[in-house]
Order: sequence, then C-alpha cells, then structure tokens
Amino acid sequence: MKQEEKKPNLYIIPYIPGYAEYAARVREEILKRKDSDFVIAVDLPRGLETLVLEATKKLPEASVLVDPLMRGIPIIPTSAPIEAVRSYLEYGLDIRFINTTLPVIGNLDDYRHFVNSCDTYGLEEVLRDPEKYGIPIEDVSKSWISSEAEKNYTAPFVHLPSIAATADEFDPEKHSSYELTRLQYMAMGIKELLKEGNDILLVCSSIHAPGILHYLECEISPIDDRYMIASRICAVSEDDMVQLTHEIPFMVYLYELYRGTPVDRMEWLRSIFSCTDYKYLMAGDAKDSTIYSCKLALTDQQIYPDIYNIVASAKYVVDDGYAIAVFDRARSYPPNKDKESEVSILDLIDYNLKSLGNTRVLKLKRSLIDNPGYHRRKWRKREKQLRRVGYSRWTRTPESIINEREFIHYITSRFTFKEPSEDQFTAEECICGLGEGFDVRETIRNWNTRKIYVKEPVMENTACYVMDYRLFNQKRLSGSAQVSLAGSPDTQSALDGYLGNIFYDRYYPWIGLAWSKGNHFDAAVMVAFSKLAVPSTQIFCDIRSSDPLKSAVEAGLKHTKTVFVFTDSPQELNGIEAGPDRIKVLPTRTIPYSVFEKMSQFDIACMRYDNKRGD
Amino acid sequence: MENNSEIVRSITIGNVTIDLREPDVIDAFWIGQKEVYRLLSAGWLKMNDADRIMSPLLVGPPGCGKTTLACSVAQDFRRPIYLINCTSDMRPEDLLITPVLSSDQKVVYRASSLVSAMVNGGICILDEANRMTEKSWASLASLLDDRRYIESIIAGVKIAAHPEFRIVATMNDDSSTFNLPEYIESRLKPVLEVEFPKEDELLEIIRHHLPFVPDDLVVAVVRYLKEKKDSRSIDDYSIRDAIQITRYAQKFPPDEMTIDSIARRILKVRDLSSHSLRVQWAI
Repeated sequence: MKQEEKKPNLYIIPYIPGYAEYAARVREEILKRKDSDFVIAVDLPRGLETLVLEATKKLPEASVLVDPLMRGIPIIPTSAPIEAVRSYLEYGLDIRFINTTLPVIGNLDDYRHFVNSCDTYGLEEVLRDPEKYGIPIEDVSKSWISSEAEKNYTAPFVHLPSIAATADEFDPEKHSSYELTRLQYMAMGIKELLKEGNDILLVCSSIHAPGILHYLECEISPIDDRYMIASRICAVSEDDMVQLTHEIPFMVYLYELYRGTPVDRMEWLRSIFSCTDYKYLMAGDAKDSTIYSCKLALTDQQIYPDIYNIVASAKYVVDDGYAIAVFDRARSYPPNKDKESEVSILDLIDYNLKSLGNTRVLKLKRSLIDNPGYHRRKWRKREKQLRRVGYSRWTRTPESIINEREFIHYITSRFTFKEPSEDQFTAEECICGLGEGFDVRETIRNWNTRKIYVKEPVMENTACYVMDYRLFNQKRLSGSAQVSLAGSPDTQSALDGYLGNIFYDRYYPWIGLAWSKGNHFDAAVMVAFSKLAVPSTQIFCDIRSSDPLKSAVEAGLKHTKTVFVFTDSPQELNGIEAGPDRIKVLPTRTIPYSVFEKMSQFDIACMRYDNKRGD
Repeated sequence: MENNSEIVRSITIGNVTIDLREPDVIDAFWIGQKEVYRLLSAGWLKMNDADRIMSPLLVGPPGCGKTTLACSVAQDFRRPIYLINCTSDMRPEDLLITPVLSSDQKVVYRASSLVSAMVNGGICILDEANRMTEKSWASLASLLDDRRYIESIIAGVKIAAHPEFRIVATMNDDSSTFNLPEYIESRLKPVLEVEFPKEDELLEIIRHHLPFVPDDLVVAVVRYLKEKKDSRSIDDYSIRDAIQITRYAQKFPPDEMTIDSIARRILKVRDLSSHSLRVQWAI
C-alpha cells in the first residue's frame, strides 16, 4: 500500500505509535495545509475529546488516559494523533475523533455485561475465559490471543515513515469482531466527513489503515455507540515513561525541545551514549556502543535501536555500570521529573490490546565499589579471585624492590646449580647430532653460509635459596641472640607483630614467613626460587609457622633439585629425607652482612585491586 | 563462498609464496539462548563498506557451548570457518606464518588458520584464547583494530585482512588461564557471556546429540544432575558432562548400572547423605 492513498479528498498518514518521526511527519503535513480548508481525522475514541484536549494542553508533561478496562492512551509529544491535536490547538483547525471505546459489537446488553464482568473480575480474567462470563468467545478472544502471540513483535522499518509496514491486503478473517467493529466504525466516521465535502487528513495507525480503506468501499451497518466508556487522566512518573511508549523517553524529550526541526535520531543516539556521567569510559567506548546498538537493531529488523538494544549494547561493549548510566539517561524525561504515577503503567494495554511500551528484560548489576582504579570487568575478576584464593596483593616500596634485585643478583651469581633448560635454547652449528631439533630461523638467517643450526638447551640455574632470618632479626632489633619463637603467632617476641605467610612474584618467585606490624615486615624465613613451575600463590602457604625452617626446605625440595640453606640453626633440619647433593647447608655469615640484611625486612606501600603478578 | 573451489590456497606477496590452510568442516547446531546468538550475529554484521566488523569475545564456564555458538553463527554467515585451539606454548609465528623445510630442501612458508581466514574472508575462531601468552596476543593487536593487518617478521610480509574477515575469541574464566593484556581487552568487543542452558534447553541439546537414546533416560539424567546440583553434591557440571553421562548410561542395561554410579565415574559427586552410598557400588 502506498504511503498516501489518494481517495477523493482523503489523505492518509499511517503512523507507528509513539515514534518521533511520525509525529514530525504529521506536523509537517498539517503545516503544509494549514491555510487550506480541511479536517483532521484521528483514530482516537469519540467521547474522549475533552479529556484528550485537557491532557494535551499540559504537554510537555506526559500523562495517560485510562479507562476501566485498563486501556490507555499515552499523551506524549511523539504520539502522532496527539501531535495532530496539538496542531489543532495551535492553529485552530477542525479535528474529529473517529474511533470508538466499545470493546464488543452490537448488542448493548452483551456490552454492559462485559463491562460489569470486567469491573468485578478484571479484564485479563474475563478475556482468558470469556465464555465463563457469558461472552461470545469470538467477540474478544481473538484480539487477546493475537496480542499475546505478538507481544515481542516489532514492526519492521519503524523509523521510516516513507515505507512504514502496512498489510498489502486486508483480510477480515484474520481480525476479531472487536477489531472489525472498530474499523467499520472508523470507516463510518470517514464517510460522514466525506459527505461534508471537505478534504480530510486522516492520521491513523498503520494497523488500521488497510481496514479503514477496505470498509470505505463496503456498506456498513450502523453501530450503536450510545454507551461510552469513560476515562480519566492519570499522571505518569519519569521512571514509568519507559513503559508508557516504545519510543525512548529521552528522545521524546528531545523531540519536544526541538519540535519543528527534523528528527536527527542518530545524533540523539550519540548524545545518549556520550553524555552519561560514567567515570570509567575509555576512548572509543561510546562510539563502539553506538555502532553496536545499530547492529543490534538490524537483527531486530529495525533501523534504529530501541531502549533495550541501546542498553544491551552499552552492557556488552563496556560493562553493567555503563549500561545503567545509559539506561538512566535514555529513560529520563525531565518534564515528569517530580510526578508520581497514579496508575500501574505496566498493567495498561492499548486499544488494540497490546502492551504500551517495552516488555523485554535485561539484567544489570550495579557495582557497590566505587574506586577510580577499579572498573570494568576487573571488578568481577577480582571478586572471583578473592573468593577463590583468600589472599590480597600489596605493592612494596621501591627500596624493598631494589633490595630484592640486588640480593638475587648476588646470590645467583655465587651459589648455583645449573641444569639444561626445558624451554630456552641457543642456536649452535650442527656438527654432530641434532640436539633439540633444527633451528630454522638461525639456519635461514645464515643461509649464505650453507650451515645448518640446531637448538641446544641453555644451562640455567634452578637452585632454591632458603634464608633463615629469625636469629638475625632478633639480634638486630633486641640485641639478644636468643632464639625466640619458631613462630607461633601467639608467642611474645622482641619482634612482636603478627606472623604470616607472604609471597613475591614480581621478578623472582619467593615465599616466606614474616612478622608484620602495620606496613612493616620483618622476615622470619624466606625462600627464593630461581625458577618455579607453579605460581608463588599456589605454594606460599606450604611454610608452617610451627617449624618454619624445615617446612621451607621441604617446599624448596618439592619444586627444585637443589636447595641452598643459609641458617645458624642446622639442627632443625634433622629428619629431612634428602641426599647431601640436594641440600647444602651454610651459615648465614657466608653471605656478607650488607647483602644478607637486604631481605631481612621490607615495607609495603598500598593495596592492589588487580591480580596481576608483581608483589 | 560455500564452494570450496573459491578458497584461495596460496598467495604470493612480492617474491614470497605462502601456502594457506584448508578451512575446517564443521557441523554445529545451536539450541536455545536466542539472545546470545543474536548478540554475536550483530557483532559480525557490517552495515556498510566503511563499517568495521567487531571482534567479539565469548566467555563462560567450561562446556557451556561457547565454541558451538561461534561455529553455529559462523555457519549462518556462509563463510569458510577456521578453528584454532590456543595453547600456552603458542608462539607468534604459530599464529601467523611458519617457515618449514620442504622435501626438496627449500624453505616454504605455511600460513596458520588465522592468516588463511584473513586471506579468504573466512571466520577465525580462537578457542581458549586466554591460554595464549601476551607475546602471542601482541602479534594480533594490529589485526583487531582499524588497521586489520598482520605482519610476519619471519616471512617479511604484511598481509591485510579480507573485508569479510571475521574473528571471535572464546575463553574460560578459570585459574589456568592468563589475564588478557589490557590493550587486547580494549579491542575485543562486545564481551558476551554464554550461560548454562535451562533445563528444557539442556534436554533438547542432549536429544539432538543422542537421538537414539530413549527420552526417559535423557529426562532422568537431567533431573539427576539438577537434584545433585541443588543439593550441592556436585559443584558444577557442563553440557559435555550431561551428554557423556547419558551416552555412557545408554550402553548399559538399566538394571545393571544406575545413573548415579555412571555419574560418579564422570563427575566428582560428594556424598552428603547415606542414601547415595547405597547405589555407589551397583556393579
């Protein structure tokens, strides 16, 4: 069906309810004709003229007309028939309402019985089983059933008035008596207006247009409309606007702000994504979200996204926090900011028995942590990490980190145990034997020499170092050489503080036991690995405070072949089952004082909120 | 591009000839969770020539269907599909171009599945992508942003992606994986969570994979797993586990093995009540 079917003196503008483009189109057509003689016909129910005008005068404050059957007529700026009514108010044109409030056809006794039943039991209950209430099922059930089936249906190309979807042919068999009655009633209204001889500009829903055209060609029996269902004007809160219309509430507001100018939906969409107060947006996020929302719309057979796709795009491109910020912006409608809803908007349906607004649900989680360094998906990762492992990460002071590097440099250069590496290789010319296989890169590099290079494993240090700082720190802090606690946290000592397990994994993997007092730590027993196959986080609890030295050496033997133990209490190692080639016990004075004391204590700077390696 | 004869099998850039791989033959079928299917399809849509195709990331627990989803949507796009299983010892050249010595002692360059997909305008699925190290990811940075090319130091070439090339990465979120580098995370969007299917969807999935299994056995297995999960006798189970249990149960007569005893051979089931001990040793 073409956009504007030209009957004699009849111009039709089909609209899809609520969308700004259609309201703009209606206004444009009315303004084009305002100096000529014509009548505006809108598919709003007869009998509600006064209420509609009263509510329209309150615009931009949105409201809804509600009848006892919970059918609602949203009074919003982007409603095409309401835009027609506004134009009538502004320019003093002639306007007629041609729809009817009747829910069933013909027999008024049936109708009154229907209304009484709905008043008593509720519309939904009656519609579920009309026969139980003595109402012929063919009168209303088809509408209800079809509306249930089409709850998620969105008309394609909703934003393009020039090619809005309409049925090519009208088939009465596919409509209930309820719908047919109203279509006939509207056609009857048009016929009466045509008889008056004026041009008619008909603003009607794209669902009604084919039916009206069909019945304009037919003979129609008179329809009894003496009994009208009264409605009342109900206020709507800002939060409920999203359920009142399929249009995005913020765009309803922008339409009102820029009324009279062309609808620039893409620009409005960009402003929703980019003008939120979300602190953790990175460059490109808003643009990517906008683009993804348009792609989501295409999968829904729409040109532009609705509020669901906008929020889904923000959620999956950035995170839930941004999605909530976008949703808050998209659903805002400042003219209704301080209003409270006087009716449950979610329970309302339109006169075609379809839901007024969006029905899809998207779950979002609001973060309770507001930390500038802690955003996006890292929050979820950290939460999972902490729940799983029960440790926290802290950053050491720069001095502590430098001390570690110097200590390790000294000790690994003087006390080593070298083995062929499993993952590091050097390229050697192939003289005899293939080593660990051809080194293709080196061979190609030296292609001109006609030599073949093979991989030879690098010899790497795999020793582990256990440092016993208990006596050392005791002497340093108290002056006494007396060995105190092996390390029960409850035992008093000159070191004081709490004895706990620690680990490092910034440069080398370390595990250990240390006394902590505030931000300061004094080492008890520390174990440094040259190479460790598992993360320190998995083994740092293997050192026991009941026998720290023995458990530290056992932990070292579990993961390496050779352990160097620097201790002045070698007797504590009795009972360890390992050959002399695996454990080498040396007194602490083997290491110069200035080097040994580097790892005897350290300080921490601040807590970290990620789980990357590094302290 | 359904016809395999349209697949390019080698390219020459300058004087460097690179052999490409054949696409994988995949027959995936997605059941349920229409929303995540739509979200992934939208990520791969291209609105116009100037539009850049997104690089989605699928996350979810093991065995929830991430790879199946990616394959299923890829099939709908009717492009050749290349699947790469990422490992922790993967090097950048494994992802790009590897030189090999041919039988006639010449150096021949072989492209990876990723490069083959780039050239042929196919869809590359990086499975278990977060098992790769940062070094491997670094070689893909230029591919995942507006530049859309990779550079192979070994072959000395730059290869631009076909305009219809698409990529998706899947990853589990467990302790055996690396964190994605932040500069890669910012390029992988949207991030779509694949959830475990609902009970009716799981039933349909098992029926699809095991059409020869009687329906009452399928229903019994799913109910058993649900009960065990609700009573915390098992921590979690995957779709794979459910299919395996059903497949294994089908091989025994019903009076010989109970579902519980079969499940214990596949899952870790904690005994929280004395009743479960009765059926532990059915054989």
